Amino acid sequence: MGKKKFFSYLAQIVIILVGIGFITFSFTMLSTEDIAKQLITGSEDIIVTPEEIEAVRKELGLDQPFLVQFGNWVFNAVQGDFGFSYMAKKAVTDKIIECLPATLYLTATSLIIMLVVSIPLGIMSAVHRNQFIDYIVRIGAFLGASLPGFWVGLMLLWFFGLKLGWFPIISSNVGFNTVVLPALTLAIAMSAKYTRQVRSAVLDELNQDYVIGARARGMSEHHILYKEVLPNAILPLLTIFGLSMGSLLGGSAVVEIVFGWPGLGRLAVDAINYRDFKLLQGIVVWIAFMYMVINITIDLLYLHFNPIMRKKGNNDE
Amino acid sequence: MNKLIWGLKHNRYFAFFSFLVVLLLLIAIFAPYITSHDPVQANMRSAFQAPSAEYWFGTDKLGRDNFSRIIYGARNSLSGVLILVFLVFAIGTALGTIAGYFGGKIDTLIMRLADIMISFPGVILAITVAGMLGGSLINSVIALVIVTWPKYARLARSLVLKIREKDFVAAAVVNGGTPRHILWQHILPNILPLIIVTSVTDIGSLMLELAGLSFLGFGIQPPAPEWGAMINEGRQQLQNAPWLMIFPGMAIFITVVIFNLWGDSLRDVMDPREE
Repeated sequence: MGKKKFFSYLAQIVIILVGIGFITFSFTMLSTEDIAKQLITGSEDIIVTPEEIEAVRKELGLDQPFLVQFGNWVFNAVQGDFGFSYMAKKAVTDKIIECLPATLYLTATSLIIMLVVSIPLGIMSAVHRNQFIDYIVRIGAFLGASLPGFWVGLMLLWFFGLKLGWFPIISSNVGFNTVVLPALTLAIAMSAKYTRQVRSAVLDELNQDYVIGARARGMSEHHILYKEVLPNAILPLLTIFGLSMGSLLGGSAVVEIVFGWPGLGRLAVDAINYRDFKLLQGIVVWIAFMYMVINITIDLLYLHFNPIMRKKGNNDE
Repeated sequence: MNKLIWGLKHNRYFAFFSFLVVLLLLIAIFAPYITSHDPVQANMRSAFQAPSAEYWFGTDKLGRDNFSRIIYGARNSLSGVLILVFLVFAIGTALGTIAGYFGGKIDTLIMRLADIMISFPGVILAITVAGMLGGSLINSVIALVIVTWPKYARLARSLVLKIREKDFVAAAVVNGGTPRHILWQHILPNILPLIIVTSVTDIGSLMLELAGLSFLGFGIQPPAPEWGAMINEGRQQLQNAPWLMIFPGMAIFITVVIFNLWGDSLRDVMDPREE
């Protein structure tokens, strides 16, 4: 990667992060609730004087103009300081780092399940196109993509947790026992999508001229599939894999809530319910950052594995 | 339009799925005639009853008939998602068309904004927006419009860029057509079919996202019946009244399946090419 390319990626990240920060910041301003009052009273019903509220507003800098507040926030955020979370009673950055491992663990587990399920099914479905097994896989993928994730989670919890008693119902420790059901829930919806993608990527390759050529030269189907077709089909799948990884990091909020999983998504929902906007902004920016790093990594991998793109990329510089 | 009528006559699948979609809408519209109980009125004496001849899908903690709530819930769920799809379609297409046709600064502005929105997991942004605006059906729709419009803007823009190069557009320009005339008469009629098909195929997944938001409590508020919110209420009684969670989920699932099948068959009708 050339220097120019590196800086263009960096600039892209900065622009988007500031943009995201600005958008979330504007929405906190739209919120009707008075954060300062909330901060003093908490969940209790005590009476506060307007002077007290005003004092807290001043202390938090809430009385300053919008752009000044935003500027201060960016200035501190660049240094890794996202402010203090009054919900968690600690620095936002610390709270996020505390919740990150759980989300990463869940993401990794569900991605592994997804790959183990969808790659063999997708290949099988493409190779046996329009045969019985293909129809079964396609119907399964279709139904899987139409299921509401949170409902699947609750059904799994009800059946495997309550009826069979195989897994704990509510438990906030992060371990193998507790990760299985949420990971399965996330994997079902993703596998449904990914199986289709694998199928169409393999089908695209199977229809290429070189496959006909290889067959004409008498190569075994086995050799064609594993040595020629699959290595080529991996490339388009890489991008989609990156996208699902990124959306998992932030998009598993619903499933985390269902299972009481102590990850970032649940933290975000809690932050909203407690009106802890500092925490919320920190989470949003952090997730955006991870999402972009993943996408850029995938971009670079793509260049690395695709000789044609690599050549083009070099010419740009 | 002609294609649609042709499709209804000649494509059995499209005709059948269109019939199912109409059926869903009729169920929502005629909910009072289908149900025998009030969906909101509490009746504590009949709380937590299992499914029976009287209460087909059981009752909830306030003794409300689960079946009636699901049928009435179709009104909120369906109207929410249809408004959502329409808004996303209208706003995304308008911005994308403007960006693609006029180009220049306005193009950069709109597409940069779209880039920011897209380079970000939509769900978390939707939760943020819906949560900050406060839970209501309209706010959850607004939140999803904000995260979904860029997809349509990008699609519309790329279609406009393709059409703009065509000879008939050049001819219209040479003949002195105003931008307004060219947009309405030449560009839009050519890009709309594909965007409409895309929005119809998206109904199912948008429905899931909308239900997800109301499941989190950022959608329509109780006591109004809505499927996602009902599953959230049923979640607390998972152990002693699983029917409260099972049936609304089935309702979402079946509706999403119907809309997805309808969307797929519509695509086949509008663009008959081999798979």
